[in-house]
Amino acid sequence: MASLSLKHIKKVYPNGFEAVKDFCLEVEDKEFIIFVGPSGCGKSTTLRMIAGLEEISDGELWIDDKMVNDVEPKDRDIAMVFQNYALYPHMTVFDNMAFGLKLRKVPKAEIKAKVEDAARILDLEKLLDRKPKALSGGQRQRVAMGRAIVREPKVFLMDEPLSNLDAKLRVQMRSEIAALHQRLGATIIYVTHDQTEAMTLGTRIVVLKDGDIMQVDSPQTLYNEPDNLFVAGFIGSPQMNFLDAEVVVNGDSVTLKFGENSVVLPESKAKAVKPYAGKTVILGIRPEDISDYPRFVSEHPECVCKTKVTGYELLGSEVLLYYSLNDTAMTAKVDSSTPARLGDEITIAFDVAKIHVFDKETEQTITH
Amino acid sequence: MVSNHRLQAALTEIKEIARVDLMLYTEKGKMVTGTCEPQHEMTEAVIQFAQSMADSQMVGWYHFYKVLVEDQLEYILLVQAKGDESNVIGRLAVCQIRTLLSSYREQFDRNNFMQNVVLGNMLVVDMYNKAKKLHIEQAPRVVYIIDVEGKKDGLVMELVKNLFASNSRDFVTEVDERSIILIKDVRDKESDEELEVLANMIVDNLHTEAMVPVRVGFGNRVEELVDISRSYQEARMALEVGNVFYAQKSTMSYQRLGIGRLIYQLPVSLCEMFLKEVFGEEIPDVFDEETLVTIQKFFENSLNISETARQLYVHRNTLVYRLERIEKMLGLDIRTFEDAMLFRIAMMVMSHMDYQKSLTEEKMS
Repeated sequence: MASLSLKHIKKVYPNGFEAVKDFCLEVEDKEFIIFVGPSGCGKSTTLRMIAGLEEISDGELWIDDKMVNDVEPKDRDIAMVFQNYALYPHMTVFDNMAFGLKLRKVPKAEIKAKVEDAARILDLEKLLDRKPKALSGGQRQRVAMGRAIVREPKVFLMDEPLSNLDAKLRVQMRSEIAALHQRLGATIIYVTHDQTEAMTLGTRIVVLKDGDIMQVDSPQTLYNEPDNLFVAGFIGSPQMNFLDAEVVVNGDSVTLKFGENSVVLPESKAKAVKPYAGKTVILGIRPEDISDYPRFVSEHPECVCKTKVTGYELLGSEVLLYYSLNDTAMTAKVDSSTPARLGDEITIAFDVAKIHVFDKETEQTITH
Repeated sequence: MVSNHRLQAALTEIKEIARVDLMLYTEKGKMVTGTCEPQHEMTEAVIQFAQSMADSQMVGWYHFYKVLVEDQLEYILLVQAKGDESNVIGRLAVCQIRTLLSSYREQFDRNNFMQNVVLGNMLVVDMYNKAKKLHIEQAPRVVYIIDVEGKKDGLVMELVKNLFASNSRDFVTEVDERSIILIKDVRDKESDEELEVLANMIVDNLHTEAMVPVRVGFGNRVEELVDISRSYQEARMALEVGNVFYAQKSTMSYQRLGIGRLIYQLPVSLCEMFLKEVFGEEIPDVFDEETLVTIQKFFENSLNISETARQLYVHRNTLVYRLERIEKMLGLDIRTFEDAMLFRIAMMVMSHMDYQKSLTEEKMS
């Protein structure tokens, strides 16, 4: 396997469209890196540049200790799995997996060994004689993975490989890919627009927006300590609530005021927010850090608000309550035992330790 | 015709079953392929046998057979003589090779026919007669052109053929050294989205397997054989318009060419006149990367200065300064809709002219 180094990589098309700007990233050997972001953020373009299918406008791409900017894709020792991948309909699973190797004139015995090995890893051994039409969606996807595995590449590149599968199968394949990474000990770069996929699979996640890296971190850090408003909103479902709030400083105490409500910041956050006295900032709080549970409300007196439930969604063990504060639509994810129902007046509290504060102009975090 | 590789594969398969060596020669005595090397020089014997009236003959340690397709001598097959059954094996092998050659000949005829249809080289009346003879039925079809960056090799063609091999109603052919043409029977694809999905599938498969950059253009759905050449022309135009105006896209549908469709068809003289009207006698040389990116981002954000400044990580005043500098150079204030539109179209016209110029240079060289 291999490490990768992307140094100030850029992609600008002749018409001035800048798909990727100054992309810098070090990928360690055996890492499972996820590129995540909305459509058009440059994640697939970056992946294609790594593969050599897209020319790099500027910057350097290193695989191990070799700069590969001008190396042909087939000589980069990488394998790809794409979203719209199709199997050869008239070939068996074995032949589908062996086809690429046959074309590259790999000896028969070697092909057989490699295909059987990949089939064992992917649990496809009993299906090797079947044709694609006799396979389920998940099995087909595994064959597609198998075609990449038999090449024994240094790096696997996967571009939304699960997006054509239904929701149930996607969940199943997600865990299979995670297990596959463990078994292969491979370096994988995986592109997705689905933040759940990113959170569950990656050892590190690169969040992209408009060709720019917004943050690179572990799933947990991205969730708990987003660097900016975009990452805070993109990671987490339902997404983080945002409110415009005025910073009021009184001695060492810092309060964020929004409409008739206010929240007294804990000391750890107050210090960072203090320079914003008199300014408007953006307060962020995740739905799961808000509750109407009476004990929670009494334990968090720093921010207690009264509001009216405008929407109620039962998810099973949890309930999503929709309401508004200071004319801003908000969501709370509470326990399903809540007595609150549509139209009810409720009292909620914020867990102030979990509050995020962002600079309104730069949209960068202030609190960490 | 059938490649030597295919013939070799067929002979090897027969040998694996019958455990008898086989060799294939031309009528001129040149060895085409075989499962072993001959023990003696066979050229003379093969020529003599080819000229004889016999269909089969035993010479030394070999059975000689003529492989005839439609009464025309194609090859001489030599089968190692090993007991009584080798004659039976030889006859079966001749039969196998003949079938292989016939099916390839038919396929070749069908491909040849489709090449002529695509290029519009056939009279309509001939087209329908020949189609009937070759069992090619009327069906809704779409032409896809797969454009390979650089010169394509056999691998790409092989991959495309294999992707669509199971459907005898599809045709894969080529008319130049850069592109592959797929004439796809689309009776199972009702929506345009499905056609787009197919184009993406081709791109993804070739990127994965052949690891070469490719772009796919496709035309409109046509119902009649005679209209296939129109779908081909549309696919060709989609690719070219994509190359000029939408370089970031790897699939282009003729139905979705936007304003590029109009500009692409403008004659160069008209383009020159338009640019002269917009920029005056000399086109200002302001199109450095920073300027281009600034303008592109400004347009992407619907002429919103604050949002553009934020996305470019520059102060609002810096962006305003840049836009004023552009206004001084171009005489166009792209902060107004009229001038922004004019500039956008002028940029596309320039791309079109650059492309036409490069085509002319290519032809000259």
